[in-house]
Amino acid sequence: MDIKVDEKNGKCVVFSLDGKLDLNASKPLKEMFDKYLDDKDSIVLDLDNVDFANSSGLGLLVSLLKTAKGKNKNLYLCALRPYIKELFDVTQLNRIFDIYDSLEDVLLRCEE
Amino acid sequence: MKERYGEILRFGDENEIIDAIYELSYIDETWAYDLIFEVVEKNKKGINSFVESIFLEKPNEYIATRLISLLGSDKIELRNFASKVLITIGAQFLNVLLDGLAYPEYDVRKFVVDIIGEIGVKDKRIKEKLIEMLDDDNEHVNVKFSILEVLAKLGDETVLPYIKKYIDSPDLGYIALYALGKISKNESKNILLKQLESDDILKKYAAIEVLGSMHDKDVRKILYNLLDKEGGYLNNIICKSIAMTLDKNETIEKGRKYFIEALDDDDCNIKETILRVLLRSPDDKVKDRLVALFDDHCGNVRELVFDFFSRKDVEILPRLFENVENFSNNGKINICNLIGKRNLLDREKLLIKFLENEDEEVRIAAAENFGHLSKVTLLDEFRKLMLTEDSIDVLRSMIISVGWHMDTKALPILIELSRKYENCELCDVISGSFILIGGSEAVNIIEENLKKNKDNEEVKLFAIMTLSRIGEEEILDILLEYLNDDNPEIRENVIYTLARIYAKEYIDKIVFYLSDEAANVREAALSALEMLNYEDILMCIENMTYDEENWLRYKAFKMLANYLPNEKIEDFLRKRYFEATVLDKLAILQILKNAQNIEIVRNIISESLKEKEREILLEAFSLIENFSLKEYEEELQKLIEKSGDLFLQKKAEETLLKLKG
Repeated sequence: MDIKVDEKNGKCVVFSLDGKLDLNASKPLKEMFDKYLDDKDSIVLDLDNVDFANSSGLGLLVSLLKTAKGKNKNLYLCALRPYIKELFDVTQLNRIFDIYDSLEDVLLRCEE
Repeated sequence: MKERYGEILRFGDENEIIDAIYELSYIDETWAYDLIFEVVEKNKKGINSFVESIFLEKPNEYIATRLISLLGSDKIELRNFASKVLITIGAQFLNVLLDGLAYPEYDVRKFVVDIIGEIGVKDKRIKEKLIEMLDDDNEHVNVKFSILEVLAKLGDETVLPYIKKYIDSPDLGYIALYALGKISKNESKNILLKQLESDDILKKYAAIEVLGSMHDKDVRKILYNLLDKEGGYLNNIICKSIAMTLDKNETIEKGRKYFIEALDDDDCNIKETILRVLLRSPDDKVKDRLVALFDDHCGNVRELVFDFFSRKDVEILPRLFENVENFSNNGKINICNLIGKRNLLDREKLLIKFLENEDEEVRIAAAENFGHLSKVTLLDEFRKLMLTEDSIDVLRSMIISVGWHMDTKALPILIELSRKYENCELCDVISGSFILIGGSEAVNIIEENLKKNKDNEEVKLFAIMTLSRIGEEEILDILLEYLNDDNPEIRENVIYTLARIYAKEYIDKIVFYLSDEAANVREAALSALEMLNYEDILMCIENMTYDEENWLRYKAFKMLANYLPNEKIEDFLRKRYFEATVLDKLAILQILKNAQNIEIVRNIISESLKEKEREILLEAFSLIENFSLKEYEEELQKLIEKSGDLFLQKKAEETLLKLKG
């Protein structure tokens, strides 16, 4: 899993993920997440280049969301591919995550 | 031809009717539109929304005139249909609207006036006609009512004298005052201010309300002064009007007690408007009221208070929870949502308590918001309640919640629930939670369940789909056992999973399923090989264009489009066209838009122009346009002259016109 980090403004950072969202993604993503969480209000995961996720990957997202919520921070997701969307529908994760169609949309939210 | 279309419109299915309507709109003759309107009057939602799009795309005066008549229909849906289209296209057909103002039925005239208001027509003739109607003693009061509103909406100061005339009218007086509010002119403001002295309470009320809507700061001062003077019911509307004059972040200057009192008004609009302003600077008294308003049923009051409690750090939050027992069920649901939204971990216990509430909706909210908490300590209690819960909807939310908490201990309960309910009613959410919980335990339980229910197709499919989505490598061995399953849906799922987890080592096995007896499995194999970047994928797709199933051949052609331009594929398509069915030919013509070899394109177009099938000819026209092939002008001209098909003629004419630029 490749992660490109883009600090949009003082409050928000975007992680653009590229690859599969599975157990291998856990370590790099968690490390990156912990690094930025305290300094930022919101973290955005851009999933435009993620076309596969499995149980471990979804679990990872849930645990990141809980960490963010526990610290009163926001975790936003954007640009979900069809299969990932399908997984979010089946697991009803679409009801606990703030999901946006595109990076542009989520950045507007971040700027509020 | 007219009879043929008439028959399709009378006896055809929805798709045939829609196709016929599309063609009739192209024919563009009065009889064709009359036929379309006959269908419209049958009031079928899907068809009428298609007609609407056609009318919006290609409006004309005849359509507009027929729509005006439709405004007199006794069916509200048809009136709304006509009104909606006229609002969009009406500005292009002002003469038709003018004629509509002279329509014999007053309710049609009223509709036309309203439409003019919606469009915002500022045409002199229309304005004059409206004023003439207003002055006509025989005009219906409802029409005059609308005219006053429209004249005001046009915001044109010259209409002021006409509106003024009606201020003393018993029927139209207060609407005339409201109309004045829309014309921001000092004169109208002065007329309204004068009404504040009126003995007629209705007019006074209207004047206060309208003055508020003018957003005038000078008016605000007058209204503030009125507060102490009036008292009682009028005070509430004064407060609302003051609130309306404030800018987005402005707060109340004085008379706070009146504003707080106005929160008791029965008019939800007053209550909401004032609450919005008070929430900008909530003092202790306002906060006191918020606790009660949290459970208010009026308009959006509850939502406003909820939003306040969910966004701000309010020290009175504990007081809100003190009153919880007295809340209505809706209030309790709101409390659950607040706990979830604010992640109030110390209120976990209350959610568990609400899970025993007798109202199902409260239990659903409690279950769902329990899932929203970032950290829970009462999962044991939660699971116990799952075992005794008998409402499927509540269980649904509880299952989702244990999934969100990735609660491994809930797995046996989930399996038990999947068995308990007939027709696998909860299987979708159970599957979702299994996917989230994942890990060896989930996989083992599913595998065990699979073994126990080998002959139960439903359980098998549920298990395989869940395993597929769990998607870990450890599921591969189990899944592979089912690659040869009798159920094609299971074979299909296994194949897709192999592709998703990029199990390239199984490519050979997947290739075998390109000739499976079930078309969905053959399709899965082809898509899977493409996902796995199989080196011979093009050959596989080409072969699939010979499949016995029409839809699969069509899909294969569409897959080829993604590889165009490509000399080899284009050559294949040329050869393939000569042995193709009508559907194949359509697919080939559609994908050729991305081709590069113009000779091949010409070759296929020339061949297709010999066809009698209208759909093929239409695709050929589209290709001619796409590649601007002027050499076909003559052939198109011949087709226009010889074809007895009016729709085809129109389409050929359109293509010819585009070629000629």
